[in-house]
Amino acid sequence: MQRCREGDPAAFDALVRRWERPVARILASVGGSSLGAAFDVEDLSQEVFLRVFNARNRYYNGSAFSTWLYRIAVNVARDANRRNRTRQRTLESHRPDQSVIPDEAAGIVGRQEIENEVAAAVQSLPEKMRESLMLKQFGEMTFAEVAQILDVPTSTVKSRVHAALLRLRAELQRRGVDQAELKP
Amino acid sequence: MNCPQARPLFIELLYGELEPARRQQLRAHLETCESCRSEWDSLEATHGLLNSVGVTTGNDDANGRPVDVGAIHQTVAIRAQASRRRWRRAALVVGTIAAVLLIAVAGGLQLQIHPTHIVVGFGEPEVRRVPHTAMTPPPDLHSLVVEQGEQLARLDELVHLATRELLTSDGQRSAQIEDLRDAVEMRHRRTQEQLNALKVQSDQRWRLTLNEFSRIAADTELADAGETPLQVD
Repeated sequence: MQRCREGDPAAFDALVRRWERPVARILASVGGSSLGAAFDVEDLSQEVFLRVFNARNRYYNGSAFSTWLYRIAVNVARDANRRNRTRQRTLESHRPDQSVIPDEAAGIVGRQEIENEVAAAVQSLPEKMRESLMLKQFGEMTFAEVAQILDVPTSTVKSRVHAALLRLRAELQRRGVDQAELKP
Repeated sequence: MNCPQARPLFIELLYGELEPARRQQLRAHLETCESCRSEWDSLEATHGLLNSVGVTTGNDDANGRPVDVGAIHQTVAIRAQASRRRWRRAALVVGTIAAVLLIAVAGGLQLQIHPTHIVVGFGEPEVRRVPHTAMTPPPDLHSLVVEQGEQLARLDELVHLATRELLTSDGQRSAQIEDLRDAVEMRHRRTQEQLNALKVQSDQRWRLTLNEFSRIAADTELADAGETPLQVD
């Protein structure tokens, strides 16, 4: 990072190569790329490293680089989620009356349908709860690391993840996903 | 381990962050507590379902590159160029405005802002007529004092002359009054003398008349009675 700040293009290239996959995983987990979110992880990764490059002179050497980088990634994912919510509201306002569509929830059998329901249930979680759950579930980080990125106490992250899982289960049951399908 | 102690540890056990000794205690509690086991099963099932769905990063190919570094450098360069262009444009606009203002001011632009209207004009500003006295430079203090001293001396002399003339004329008028008084007294005396003379003459005439009248009456009475008339001195 020091060489990158001094304007070495090769250093920035090496930095991107080292961190692009963890960043993509953070973006995918917080945004839930395969869980129904409508944004592209590649575009967001590009945005994350663009912000890193522009903010390279503001990075403080004493702090962990991964924490600083993941915070930027979480912020980019949050912005994308907000934009996505706004777009969904706009689409929903133009959607035809769903009462005429047959209720197929009882007949969900395929994996794709289950994934769609899970994605919808995750998206229905409050933002802070969802971030903690997804970072922990898919970010390959300890509770302490997640707490550092979100800038909250470790105990808060644990209680948020615990509550998120229970709430998610109730939401899935409400959506008609069978109890048997919830078994590992 | 009881339920309030066990429940907060579920999440650490689920994600493999619980230390072995506590893990064994928790497992033992779950074997015996139906309520806790039910909640644990729910957590484990949901966790498992999330894992089975998973997340994809959109490019899981090991050789693939989610981030295009060249594009980042290009974007930064384009943004920097756009920023420079914006600054140049802003500088050009500000410079143009400054030049126009300078030319306008040099050309005699007059801008007057009043509470109800704004007056914009060109040309030389109106020359205000200043009274001549205000244009003359003030004399120096010494010559001013000398000048005032001379004026006071002239004024004093005038007062002196006026007083003297007044006294002179007053003396003349006093003399004239005195002459008039003498003349009046003389006339008064003459009049008195004339009156006295007239009185004497009048007395004499009266006596003569009275004597004449007495003589006539006596003559008449005597004539009637045959006696002599009254005699007056």
